[in-house]
This record gives sequence, structure tokens and C-alpha cells, in this order.
Amino acid sequence: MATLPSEARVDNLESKALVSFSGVTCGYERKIIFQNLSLQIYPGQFAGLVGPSGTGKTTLLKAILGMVPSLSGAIFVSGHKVGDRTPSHVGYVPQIETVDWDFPVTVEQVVAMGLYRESRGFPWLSRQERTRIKTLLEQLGIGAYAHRHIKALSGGEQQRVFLARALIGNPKLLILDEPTSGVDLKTQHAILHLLGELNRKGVTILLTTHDLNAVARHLPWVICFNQTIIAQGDPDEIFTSAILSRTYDSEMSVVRSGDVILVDDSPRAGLHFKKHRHPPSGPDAESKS
Amino acid sequence: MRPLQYEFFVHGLIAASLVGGVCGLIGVYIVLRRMSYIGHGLSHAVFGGAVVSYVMNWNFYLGAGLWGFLSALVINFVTRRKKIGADAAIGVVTTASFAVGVAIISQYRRFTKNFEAALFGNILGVTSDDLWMIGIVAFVSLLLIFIFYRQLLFTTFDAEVAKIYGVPSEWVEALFSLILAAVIIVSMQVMGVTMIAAAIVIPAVTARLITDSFNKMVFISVGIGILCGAIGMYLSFHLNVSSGATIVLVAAAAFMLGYFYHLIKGRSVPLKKEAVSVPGELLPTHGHPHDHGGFQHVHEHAHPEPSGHHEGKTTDAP
Repeated sequence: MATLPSEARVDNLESKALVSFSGVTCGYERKIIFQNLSLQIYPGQFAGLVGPSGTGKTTLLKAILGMVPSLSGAIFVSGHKVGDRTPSHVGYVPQIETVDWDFPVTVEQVVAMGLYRESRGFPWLSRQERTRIKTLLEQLGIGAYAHRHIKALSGGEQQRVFLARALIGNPKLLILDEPTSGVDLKTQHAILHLLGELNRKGVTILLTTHDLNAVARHLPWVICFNQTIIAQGDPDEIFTSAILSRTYDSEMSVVRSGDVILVDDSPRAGLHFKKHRHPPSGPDAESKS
Repeated sequence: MRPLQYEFFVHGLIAASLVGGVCGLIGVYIVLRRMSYIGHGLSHAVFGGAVVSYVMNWNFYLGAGLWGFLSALVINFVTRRKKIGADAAIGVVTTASFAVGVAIISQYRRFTKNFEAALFGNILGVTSDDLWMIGIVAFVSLLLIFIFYRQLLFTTFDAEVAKIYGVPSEWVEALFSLILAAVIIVSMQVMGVTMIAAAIVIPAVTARLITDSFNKMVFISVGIGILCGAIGMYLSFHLNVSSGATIVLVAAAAFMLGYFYHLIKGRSVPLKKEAVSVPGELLPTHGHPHDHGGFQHVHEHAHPEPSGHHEGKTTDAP
């Protein structure tokens, strides 16, 4: 497991971070969700935030986006303090359950929303905008659905529509709130493969998920979170019985066999197998376990 | 008897058509925000402002307009706190505002009759000045909704996310509140406080039943609003029934037709989910067997480079 970096090195690393939390406390009204949180996300990282429901994962994402004000401390995105202005070059994919699927919009209209910052103000899309949207939709494999109502697509396709909206503005940072919820296993792997490809193309990705299987298989970096960072690093090192039990406040066993990690998170839960992963893309792991 | 020979009828017809059209336009945004009750509530709130304007001897449009705008802003503000739903916020703010009007009327009983017109509409009393005012409000509303089309669409779809993408959601909502208050005020004389909500909501929900396209919904809703206004006026003249009521009844009939169309057509959304295979640069396009720790399996991979590679064997260090 990695060691804590020195103070001088922390300062240096913080200045290089794409996202930096410095002693941040966030909450709603009188309820504190997390406090004095320090966290850095570095350019090129592909990180997954895991932990039980209601422990602040979504709040953490929303704090980066300026949707939840910090009660103390400061959050910086690309060196700019969040709150002074809405972070640009950030793409956001909300939880799919929060989308109003009865809203009468087509796939193209949803993706066009992501072009707002660049739009010239006309209600209609320019030829250039249409071409950009068409190209991106084709790259995501939903080019044929541009003029379909969003409800007429499958779960995986719907997820790609909102991914397209986030990507159309060429973000440096992509934030996804449970991108694999509500989709079948095949679609789940397809989405994470897709995110892996985007990460390889240079997009920094931070997502939340409840699926430890998916994290172990596809993500090179995991942050175990339960109102504070329990541990972070390579899933191979982080997915231990002790860390996961602390994160989820319940007994969880992890079995290793060579390169394979088997996480038994409940008596009836599926096991997950892990071998491939990418090297951590930030600094050395700052494990707090 | 040909009603068009009467100036009062021509004025009424133009007013009803304009009000129907502009109510149909803003109704789309109201219905899609699931705030249908706001038309009903705000018209009652504006009634309070109208009474105060009368008592204070202020200009009706200015006094009632400001009152309505402030009420809409308060509703938006309270709703944004999330602990209180939009329906409850509308109920509290607008009923309180209406109660102010009723309380003042009970003190100054001499003008009770004037406010019957505000409550139930008096389209036959529409003057040239009123027509100009309705026309200006309709034109400015149309222009603002055209200019802020993208912002309004994104904010209506998801105000919270729209803000992340740079849309000044609070300003857009304030602008929309201003448009809504203005439309309600100029509609009061035509429809009456008690009928405005129907003029706002019915054309939009009928249009929603007919189409899944936002743009078509806007055009259909405006069209239904104009037609209901015009047909309602003619029926009102021939049947000698209150104009506000006939316009709303015609709109209700249009809703029934729309509902039957919706039933006949089947579900409003074409839920075709057939697979469409489009090769994509980023999309996993085909699979081949490989192993994870000795477990042979197949899942799909993208191969952006000619040589291809397995995701687990690549590096993505920043």
C-alpha cells in the first residue's frame, strides 16, 4: 500500500491537481455530510468513488460542480475556486433516475444542450453544430437515434445520450453519478469500456458507483468513501476485507487467488474477478486506511 | 346576425385569439415544469395586486404586474429550497395574496362589482388600449421566448444541470416569471382570474398528448390556444354564454379530442427499441474471447488502433 507524501510534496501535487479539495466541509441546511475533506484528482485519472448510500458521494460530485456550496474550505477545479464561477470544461452525467423521461426532447436536442457555452444564441442548431453532434453520436454508436425521443431508447443508449451531452463541449473532466445503475451487465461493461477509451484519449474521469465488480474490473483507481476517505488507490490494494468492511460498516470478505480478487460482499452476492487494471495515474496512493 | 359588424366583438375576437395564443405558448413551459397550478395561483395573486393598485390609485398594469412578478419570484425562491414543493409554495403565496385583495374589497364594498370583471372576465369591454397592451405583451413574450429558446428549454428540462453548463438558471427563471406575470395580467380582462389557468394548461397538455416533439408541441399549443379563443368567442356570441367559459369549454373539448387521438395512436412515445448497429470509434463493436485471471469469457471491445489491444494491457498514465 502506498505511503503518505511529504508536506512539501503535497503542496506541489495540489498545484498540479485538476480537482482539489482543501479542508472542505459540505452539508445541507444543518446536516453536515462530510467535513474537513482533502482530496486531489489529477489530470488523466480514472477514479471511482465507492461507498454506502447517503454517505456523501453525490454531494462530493455536486460540490465539484458548484451545485452544493462548501460550508468551509475551498474546492479548486483547473486552478479556479469553485463558487467564484461555474467550472468550465467539465462534463456532467447525472443519475439516470433524475431525468424526466416524459419530457418531449430528441436525442439531438439533449446533446445540443451541452453546446450552450459555444452557441451563438439562435434557437436553431447551426450546420456545424449538427455535424458535431452527428459525429459524436456515431462515435458513441447512437447516430441513428438523433431524432428519436429520449424515452424510446434502451438504458445503455440513454446513458450514452447524456454522456454525449457531457462530451460535446470537449471537457477535461468528466463527472458521472452512477453511470452503471439501472442497466444490465453487458451494458454496464460497454459503458465502462467506453469510459476507459475516453480516459485513454485524455479525459479525466470521476464516477460514483455501487458496483464493486465493475470498479475492480475496469477502474485503475478507487476511493472508498464514507463521509470521509477511508482509503484510495489501486483496487488491487484497496479491496481488502478490512477496508471494505470499514467503508460499508458491515462484514465483507475478500479472497485472492493469484491475480484474481474475489469480493464476497454478502452471503448471496456475486463474486467479482479482477486482473487487469491501469497504473494509478495520479501521485502515489495516499491511503488513509 | 354577423358578429364581425360589431366593434366590441372584433376587439373581443382579436383579444381572445392573442390571449389564447400567448397562454398556449407559455403553457408549454408551465406544463413541462409540472407547475400547472401556477397559472391558477398567480392569477389569484395578481387579483390582490389589482385591488391594491385600485385602492392606491396606481396604474393597473404596473401595480398588478409588479405584484404578480414578485409573487412568482417568491414562489420560485421558496420552491428552490426543496423542502417545500412547488404546489405548496404556490398555494401559500398566491392564496395569501388573493386574501389581501378580498380583505381590501370587504373594506371598500363600493367597487365590488368592478372586480367581478377581473374574476370572471369581461371580454366585451376590451378597449383599443387593452388590445394594444395585449398585443405588446404577446409580441414581447414571443420575442423573449425566441431569443432565450435554448436557455428556457435547458432550464425547463433540468434547471440544476443547466447551471453547470453555463445557463444562468436563476435569471432565466426570473425572466420567465416576468413573462408569466405579464401574460396573466393582460389575460385577466379576457378570461377572468378564475379561467386563466385553463387557458394556460389545456392547450399545452393537449399538444403534449399529440406530439413527442418539443418544437411541434409549442406550435400545436399556440394553434390550439388561438383556435379555442376564436371559436369560443363565436360560440359565446351565438349562444349568449360568458366568453371566458365558452373559450375554456372549447379548450376542454379540444383536450378530449387530443386524448382520444392519444388513445387511438397508442402510447405517446414510440417505444421502438430495436437494435441499430452503427460502428463507432468509441463504441465496443465486437467481442472476442479472452481471460481475466484464467477465467475465459467474451465481452465487446473497441479497437481504435489497427493492431487492437486489450483494455487491461494498455496503460493510461497521465
